Amino acid sequence: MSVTRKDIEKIAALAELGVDDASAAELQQQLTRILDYVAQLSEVTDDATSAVDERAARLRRDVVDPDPLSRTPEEIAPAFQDGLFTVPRRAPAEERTTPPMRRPPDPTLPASPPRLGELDREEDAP
Amino acid sequence: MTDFLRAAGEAAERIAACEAKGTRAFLAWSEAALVEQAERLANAGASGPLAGEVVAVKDVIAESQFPTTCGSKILEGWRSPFEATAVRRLREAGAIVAGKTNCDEFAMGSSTEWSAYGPSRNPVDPTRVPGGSSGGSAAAVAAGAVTMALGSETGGSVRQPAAFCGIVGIKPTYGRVSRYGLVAFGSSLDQIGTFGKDVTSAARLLGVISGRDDRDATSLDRIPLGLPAPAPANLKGTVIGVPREYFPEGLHAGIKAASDRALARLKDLGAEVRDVSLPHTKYAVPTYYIVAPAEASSNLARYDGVRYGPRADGGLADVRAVYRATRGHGFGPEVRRRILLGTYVLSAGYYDAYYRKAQHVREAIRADFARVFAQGVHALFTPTTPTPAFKFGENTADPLAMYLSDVFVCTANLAWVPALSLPIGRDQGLPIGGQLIGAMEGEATIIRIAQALERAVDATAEVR
Amino acid sequence: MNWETVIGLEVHVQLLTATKMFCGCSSRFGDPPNTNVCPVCLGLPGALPVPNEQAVRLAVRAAFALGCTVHPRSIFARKNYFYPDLPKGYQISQFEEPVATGGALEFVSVERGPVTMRIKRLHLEEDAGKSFHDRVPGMTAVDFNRSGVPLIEIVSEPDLRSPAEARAYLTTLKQVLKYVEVSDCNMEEGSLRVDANLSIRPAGSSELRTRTEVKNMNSFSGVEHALTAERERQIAATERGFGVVQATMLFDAASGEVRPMRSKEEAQDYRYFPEPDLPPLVLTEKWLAAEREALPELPAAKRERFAKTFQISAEATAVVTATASVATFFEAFATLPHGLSGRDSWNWVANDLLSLSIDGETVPLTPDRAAQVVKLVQSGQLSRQAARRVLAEMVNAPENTALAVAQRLGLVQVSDNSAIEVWVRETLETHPGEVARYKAGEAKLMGFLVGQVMKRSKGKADPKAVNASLAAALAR
Repeated sequence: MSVTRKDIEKIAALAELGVDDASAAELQQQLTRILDYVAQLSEVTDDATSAVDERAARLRRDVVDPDPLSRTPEEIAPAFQDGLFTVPRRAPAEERTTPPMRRPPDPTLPASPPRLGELDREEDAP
Repeated sequence: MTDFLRAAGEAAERIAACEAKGTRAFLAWSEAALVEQAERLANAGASGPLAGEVVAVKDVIAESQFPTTCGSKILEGWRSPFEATAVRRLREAGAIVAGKTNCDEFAMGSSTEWSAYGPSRNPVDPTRVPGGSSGGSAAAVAAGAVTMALGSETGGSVRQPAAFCGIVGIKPTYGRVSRYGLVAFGSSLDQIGTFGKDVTSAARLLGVISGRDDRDATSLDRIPLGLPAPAPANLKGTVIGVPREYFPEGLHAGIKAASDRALARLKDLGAEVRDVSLPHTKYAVPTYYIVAPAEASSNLARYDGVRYGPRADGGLADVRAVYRATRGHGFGPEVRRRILLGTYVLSAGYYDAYYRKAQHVREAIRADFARVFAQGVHALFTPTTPTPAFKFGENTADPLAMYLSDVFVCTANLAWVPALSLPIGRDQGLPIGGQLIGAMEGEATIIRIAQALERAVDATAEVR
Repeated sequence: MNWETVIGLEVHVQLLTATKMFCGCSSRFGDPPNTNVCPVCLGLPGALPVPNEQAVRLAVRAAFALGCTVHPRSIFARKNYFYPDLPKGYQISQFEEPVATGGALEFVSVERGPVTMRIKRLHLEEDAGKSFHDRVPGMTAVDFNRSGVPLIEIVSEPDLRSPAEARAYLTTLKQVLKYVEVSDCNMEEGSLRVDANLSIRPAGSSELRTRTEVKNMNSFSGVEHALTAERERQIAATERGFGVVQATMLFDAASGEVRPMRSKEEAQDYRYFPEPDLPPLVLTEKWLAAEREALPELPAAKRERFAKTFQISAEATAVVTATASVATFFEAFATLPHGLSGRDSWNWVANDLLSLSIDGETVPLTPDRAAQVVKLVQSGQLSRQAARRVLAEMVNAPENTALAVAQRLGLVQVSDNSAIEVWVRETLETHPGEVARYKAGEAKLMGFLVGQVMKRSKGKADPKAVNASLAAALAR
């Protein structure tokens, strides 16, 4: 099971870990070795077909009783303004990098660029 | 009436002496903090089962006076605004926190060589590692700086350094001690464990910090273990299982000799020693190295520079840049390796073959233990480690070699059962640990057996 | 080419709990930012989640209300991705083993009549914080008050066939969830959010083609507009030969258009795995039975029962069952001993009482007090028009009784015959010409004469009594 350079790039992107060229090669090799080692689990045939967890979660009563914080959000935050945690944001005009074109532009789409945040989060939009 | 101030003063001297030798057991401690706690306890007229004890705390455990760095740059200077339940309980029992001890970064390692602040040294032989990841706590106890310490286990990180340093280390049943405030590495494996200069010390500390915590949904619904019973006079009626998989051909001769000697002592004490088998043992390390990194890759996602901790500075255009700079500079090579490994085994297309499969094999490992204990065995005896403490640099070049040193200890983490390591002899001056593994919630049993064995064995004697 | 639209909806609903899903922080909306936070919902190192019992109860209630199968054992799972308002870098949700599956909700489609929308699954999860991109210049600013608030996600099968149906389904869903007091379902406040999946296919075909996801709609009408725009876009793209590319489209309410999010090379891989910090969620049969028992009457059942009991039409019942509060009011009012028929009770409620509502959801009078006004009308002391004024006044009136209010407003009618006879006599004496013409056969003049009597009484005479007295006087 060989880990490719592309694999490293993909998982590093998922984990938001920058991996430079020097480490990438070494990581490829190390991860390949480790994955080859752990792959021996496929030999096991008498394991459970489903994990049986007999426990039941203890539930909490719906009463306001927050865990105390000895320092406020403002005191712990690396950057804080107007009561909010802040992170830098690229101005929308600067994010107009042309995405790779795989087919001719669709004329039914609006011509102007997306007005939105640079993050590709699907769960939220400004 | 406990003399807290005297305890604090003496501790300060001992810690200073330990650190002066270059042990680097501690990442943070101060005489002022010791004295301040002592004064507070004295003024309150505090009493309690640990009154006047000075306890070192591993740096992955949240505590209010010192930073909680987890041995990492990504949490450099991080002062936690809340304390771990275990720390709160030891304070309520009248103990003083000595300081925060060194560890492999985010508890990932077996030697402290992966601490971003430099390794700790084994007090018995400073050219060798103290073990890990709780190497700092182990060194602190072994050097006599403290008599008790908190560590944490995910894959043997208390027992292995206890064995390397010649002291006692206990990993409780999963859920015995609250994980609230223990910085998560492998959530389904993590437990706070205790070190002691002897079994009773380690057991006393465990007795106080254990018990149900409503802030940890995985904590067992049990009252604290409380103080250990007095050591038994003998072990008549006790059945000790010896799993053959832990005594492979080619086992290190010193380890073998020490184990044989300990087993002989157990028999002398009246225990029945029985041959048993735990057939899935060889799959424990590969199972562990899928489950633990997978959970770690998720647990460490919160270190992104957004809400706390140092943020990489200067010219960062957007939050992605903040993530990459913070995580790129903040995590060391072993942590990065495990995050990538963990991300890989959870990713689409690989989850079934790796993570799901590993959880199934884990069930088989658990079932091995359950079967043996159901057949009348009270505890298992095995070596704790395959070798005594290795030298610095011996295992850092090959991650897999480092992982294989966990072979005898990670089974108990996977199976959730309690386990203990106590010193059973020396080989060329290096400490050797013997391991007792109990059934689920069987701490009292293994503590009892360990107390008896401790008295019967000369832990400092050469075994060959 | 006739195109058929295929739409499925994923609806996220905030639950009406006092605290968050996994910690004891208040889940109240509108507090100053970052004041309802703790180690758990900030994702601090060492924090752990503990599930909220009431959130579980409300989720199960919603599941029963939607006809779902509730699973006695379900598993929490981590959904892993990076975003500034997601403090742990993962969201605790449910994946392979959700708390409920297999439900259905019937709604009325303008195009097709009653439609059954199949509910694929309903599961529990926690909300993320709120990101603001325009509050602080050059920064994304985050408020974690919302982080950890309990949500249920309701996923439907792609059973909708038009944007209008999407709106109708949402309206019906909102009503049901409000009836069982699970959520406020307020899109404008964010307690209900909708993501839609839309694809098109040739009419009559049963294939499922490439779909797009549509997000960022802030109202039910916004949903309808967004889906209309996206359907048009897909049809145009397909007819011109471009086909539909899988994408996430964001609705821009200002322009009414949908635009794609910046395209990514890879789809997001959430790497779901069971949450190791939480044992399985186990619900006992006894507990489930109790919840099933305690489920309030649902809108559909209530409509059916009202129609039968009060002999009113389906459309009519819809009006008085719009909210559980109105329905309770109607039922109590209609069963008081005022002798009104079901239909007449409905008239009172629909025409006179509902309009008093300030919040659109409750009637600000008790049925008893409203009935007092009915009695005054029945006894002739109030005209129907005057009754409306009295009702309105009673909402905030210091007086206890309807009669006292009516008296203060000077609206009490005179139906005392001796007074009326005087006004009738005076009117007839003043208009001898009209009287003669009426007696000669111009029956229409009755109206004029009644009006004159009313004027003489300054509007206080009971028109019915005037009519009777006038008729009697003219007959002599």
